[in-house]
Amino acid sequence: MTKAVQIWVIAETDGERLHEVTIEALGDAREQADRVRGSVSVAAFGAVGEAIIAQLGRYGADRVLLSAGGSEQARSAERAAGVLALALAKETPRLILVGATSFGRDLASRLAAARKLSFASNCNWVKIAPDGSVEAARLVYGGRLYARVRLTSAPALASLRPGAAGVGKPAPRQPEMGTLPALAEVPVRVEHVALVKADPRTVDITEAERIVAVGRGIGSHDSLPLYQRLADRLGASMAASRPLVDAGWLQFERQVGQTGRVVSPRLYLAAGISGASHHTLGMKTSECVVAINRDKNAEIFKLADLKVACDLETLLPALLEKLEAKRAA
Amino acid sequence: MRIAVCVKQVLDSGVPLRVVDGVVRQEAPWPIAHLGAADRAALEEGLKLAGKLAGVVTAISAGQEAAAAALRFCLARGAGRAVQVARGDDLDPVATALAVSDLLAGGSFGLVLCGGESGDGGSGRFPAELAARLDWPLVTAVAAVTLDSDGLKLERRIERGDREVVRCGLPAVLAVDPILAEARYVSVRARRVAANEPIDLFRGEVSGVDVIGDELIALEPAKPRPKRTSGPAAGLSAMDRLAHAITGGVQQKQSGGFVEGPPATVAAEILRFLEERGFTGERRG
Amino acid sequence: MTSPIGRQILGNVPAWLQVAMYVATLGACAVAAAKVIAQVRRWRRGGVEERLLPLADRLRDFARRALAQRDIGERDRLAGVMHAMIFWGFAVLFLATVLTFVDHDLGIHILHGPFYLFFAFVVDLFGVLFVAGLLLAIYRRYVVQLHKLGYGRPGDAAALGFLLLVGVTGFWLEGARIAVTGWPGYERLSFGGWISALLMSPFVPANDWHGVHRALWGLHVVTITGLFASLPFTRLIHMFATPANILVRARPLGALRPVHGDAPPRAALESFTWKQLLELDACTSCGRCSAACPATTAGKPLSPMLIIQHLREHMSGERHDTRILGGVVQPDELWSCTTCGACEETCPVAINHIDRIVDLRRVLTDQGEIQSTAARAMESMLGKGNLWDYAPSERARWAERLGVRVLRDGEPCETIYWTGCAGSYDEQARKVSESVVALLQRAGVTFGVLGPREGCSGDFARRLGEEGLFQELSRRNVETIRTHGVKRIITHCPHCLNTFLKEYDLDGVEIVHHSVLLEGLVREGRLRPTRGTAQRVTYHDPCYLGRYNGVFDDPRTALGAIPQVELKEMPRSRERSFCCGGGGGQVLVDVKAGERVPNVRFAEAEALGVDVIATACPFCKIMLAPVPAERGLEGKIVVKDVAELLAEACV
Repeated sequence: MTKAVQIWVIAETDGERLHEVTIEALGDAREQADRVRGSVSVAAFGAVGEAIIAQLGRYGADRVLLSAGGSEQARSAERAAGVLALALAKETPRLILVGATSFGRDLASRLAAARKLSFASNCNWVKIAPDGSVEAARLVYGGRLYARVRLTSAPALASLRPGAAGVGKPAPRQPEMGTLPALAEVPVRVEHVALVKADPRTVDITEAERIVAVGRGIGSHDSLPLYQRLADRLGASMAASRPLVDAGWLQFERQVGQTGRVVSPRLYLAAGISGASHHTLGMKTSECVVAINRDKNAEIFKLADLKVACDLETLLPALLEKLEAKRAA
Repeated sequence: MRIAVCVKQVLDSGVPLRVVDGVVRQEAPWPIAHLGAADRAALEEGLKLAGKLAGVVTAISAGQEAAAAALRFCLARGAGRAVQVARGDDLDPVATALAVSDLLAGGSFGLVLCGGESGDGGSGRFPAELAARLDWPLVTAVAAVTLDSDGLKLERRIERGDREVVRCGLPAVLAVDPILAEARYVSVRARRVAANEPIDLFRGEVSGVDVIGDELIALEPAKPRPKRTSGPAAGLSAMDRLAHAITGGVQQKQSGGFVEGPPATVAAEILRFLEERGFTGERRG
Repeated sequence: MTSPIGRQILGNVPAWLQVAMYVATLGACAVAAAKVIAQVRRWRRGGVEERLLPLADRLRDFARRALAQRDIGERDRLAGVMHAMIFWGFAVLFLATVLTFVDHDLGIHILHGPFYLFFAFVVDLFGVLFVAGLLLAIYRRYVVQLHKLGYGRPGDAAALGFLLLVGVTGFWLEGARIAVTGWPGYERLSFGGWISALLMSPFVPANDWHGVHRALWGLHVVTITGLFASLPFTRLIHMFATPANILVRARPLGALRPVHGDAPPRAALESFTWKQLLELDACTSCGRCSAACPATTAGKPLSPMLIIQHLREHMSGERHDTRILGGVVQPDELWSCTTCGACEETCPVAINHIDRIVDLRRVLTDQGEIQSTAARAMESMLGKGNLWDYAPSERARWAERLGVRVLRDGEPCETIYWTGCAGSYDEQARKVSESVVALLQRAGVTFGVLGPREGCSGDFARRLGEEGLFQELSRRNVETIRTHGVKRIITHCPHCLNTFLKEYDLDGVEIVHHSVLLEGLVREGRLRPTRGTAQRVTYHDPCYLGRYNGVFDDPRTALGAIPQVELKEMPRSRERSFCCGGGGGQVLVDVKAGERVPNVRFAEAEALGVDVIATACPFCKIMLAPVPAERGLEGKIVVKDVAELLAEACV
């Protein structure tokens, strides 16, 4: 590669699919590169299939650098950071982008320390200014203040907040292939033992990605198994408002609200919940709220992304039926 | 075994902030600050492990009054020793890590715990920098710690409630997640008593630190964000990206009307909505 | 010259038996005395009780409780009568025996002539009452098995048994004496003995009463000796401990014992005061406290009587637990308490249950053994001056919106409306603040509200056992009040009211609850409630306003002034009001057992048939307001503050 400005994107993948945040970062990098007439290289680890390489090409990767290794090795941010540290001894991109996921954050802080890089974490945006300097913007102080920083090291390192960039337009091309040092070449001190996947039925609701929450509006106790089925279909965890927990329908660990737990899932489906403040205090940071309530004046609708005014007793069987049909398809 | 816990006092996250002449000020009748949630968890776990290993916890904080306050709290909670690394009250995690690593290297410590992300900057640089300088293994996002025959067995918190189990030897640096340990209440009486306990001072100004080069250009209040959705934003123009920059990079909420009608129709609409946002497929790995 | 009418004493009793009697009696007294002294030593292991109530109050209390014993009969007429019969019966019999000794051993011959006739009758009358009272007690405890008496103590049966035997053998003995002395006619006045003699006579062999008399005499001595010796080992020790306890009353309801100093609180007998240890023996396990306790009624682990009794057993070495916390008393028992004061109010022997519970909570809290909701709330009180982690800058927003004068730092103001945490931040309670302010403005009352510097009064902090936090909060608040030169504080919340009145150092500042002030404004005609709709209203007395501070009538009068309001009384009202379940920090902790306390109270109101439950405390409203919706009565029964109802009526 001879183009002056290089932007590297670090890919996160499970081997079959790219993490959405990689696509976001790639789109962002592509847009930056186009402006400064640079190129985009993507670093990927482990067993990366053709489909992924094609997808990377589709979203604008000029070059894909592969570091060979097994899927377990690829999971180790320590290894990945070590590989990149070795690679950076030979090449100097202008900017390195990674998604601020658990893997990305781990990798970025290690790489920054290993190579003494300027680093901005969890950014809303990162851009290369016309004079070649790198600027980034991020929320600090728990999201209350907005900081703009200039990153002066070469390369500069930044992690992008998932969802901040959004998936960009496709800019398809056939990427060049390159290699990085193999994952096994890096000595590591932290040994992977096992991966324990969360079971939506048992995971703590404060960590659950998706929640189906029930309130008094669901009617009788007999309807509860239906909601559990709905939760199972959606890969969601059950939660409840206080009255149901007090009545013993669900355990206290599943109570959402001021005197219960505070949750912030990606999906919060509130069925039959009115949305009094002591409840919403426990779920208002949910990313996407679907509220189903017969009463259009219910407070919960103020927080809802999808407002459904329908009778739950008739709706739920219909919804389950549609979900089963989709699954079968 | 000597266990070190590195803490930092941060401004409370629920109190509004202003920026006056480039300095961050709270809108409150008195300063409201305390240890961040991750630091609290680090302290609790450090004390628990010290209890199991008949060890002593040394609390470390860098800075001036804020650091002293943080250390007095740690003493009140039960730390055996407190060391204040004398520095200006700045936010630079790298220089702080250098100073602290000097302190730790000479002190025969077996384990260092610190919050993975502080309550203000939240970069996670400090533990990584510390581990790099000490050349000790680093484990991040620690959610559970078990003592093993030859080191530590740890659970790491990754996305969506999943856990990765890893192993490493001692000495080590652990960057902890707040769920590692529940913060135990410390009574005002204990805090009062601890205010009289001694705090050791350690020189903290370090020379010759590599200039890493993060320059703060501007600091201003964040605009209130419209509600985020989790779906992809298709076909955004440069103008939209600029709008993102101003509003904090989030997408507009779908402000729509009510979905109503016969159950089958409503169910179909709900399904479509969930599909669009990727909630009907399998969880992404 | 002595009259032939008189009491023959010890006539038929041989000398050796008399000597034996004196020896035995002295021996029994010595045993009893030793036990009493041992108990007193145990009480004295306790710490200093700093301040007792004024002597005049204590003497008055003594006269009422220990002598007139009115409290016993107050909630249980039969028990009052029963105890009076036993108490006065025993007293008279005892006095009679003393007079007998005086007459015989000291040679002052009083038991002769007309006095003796009077004496004979009265003593027998009281003897019959004594026995009847005991039979009634036995009936209640062992036949009916009254639930509230459920706690049986070792020696219960012995105590009742010995007392009854003393009474019965006394009559038999008297009968035998009458027979031995030849059935003198005037002894008919000793009707108990006379009848006993008649009943015994068929069984007396060959009319030889002498042997019978001696035997009964010996038996009576044995029962008396047994009674005296065993007395302090059974619940009868309350004969000493209870009057003593009443005489040393220390705490009025609502003023908890402050603790100073840096030493961590400990859960040990020595950490209680000597009066608290004395109280343990003063308790007669009558069970009224537990019967009145809202937590017990709702099925929570707490039973106030059991806490006292278990500690008593621990003090007397009757338990094998070595630890108080987690052994003698479980934390959940302590956390169930709402500090409503029903136990203290109903206790006939003036025991302070609440102080004891809070003392033990202090240990748990200091060790951090509290629920995370309470911990969060206390951190919030300390850092932000409110219970729910809201920013201080938001505290007076509600007032700013209504154009109320919000004081700047140091701005002087004579009258302030102390809104409290609930009134400032909670949406239910805020409606009350808004109503109060509207009424004050309408009546032309000049007042201001403190802004972010109004901090939590610390009532919950202290009740949950965080004494250091309470003292810090009160220090800040007193300073704020003084800096603004405040002379009168109108409180929204009875908890703030109580702690300001009894636990803060606010000399020279008048403190009044909004319901009292509003009633005054109505009375003066500055507020005219003219608009009303037909509604059936019941007033729920908040514990901290009613029982704690004697305000019962003002809110009712205010409600009564609203047109078309029909006021109904719940069975448990005024001093007997049943707690809403929110006091003592219960909005911040939760012991999941039994029913929820507010549900119990709500059922009582529902049974009355009302449209509105009126109250005068924001926490009562917070606790009760969600219940109608949970019971499917949304809109049919509402919970409103007196101020809200008045505001609706004053257009």
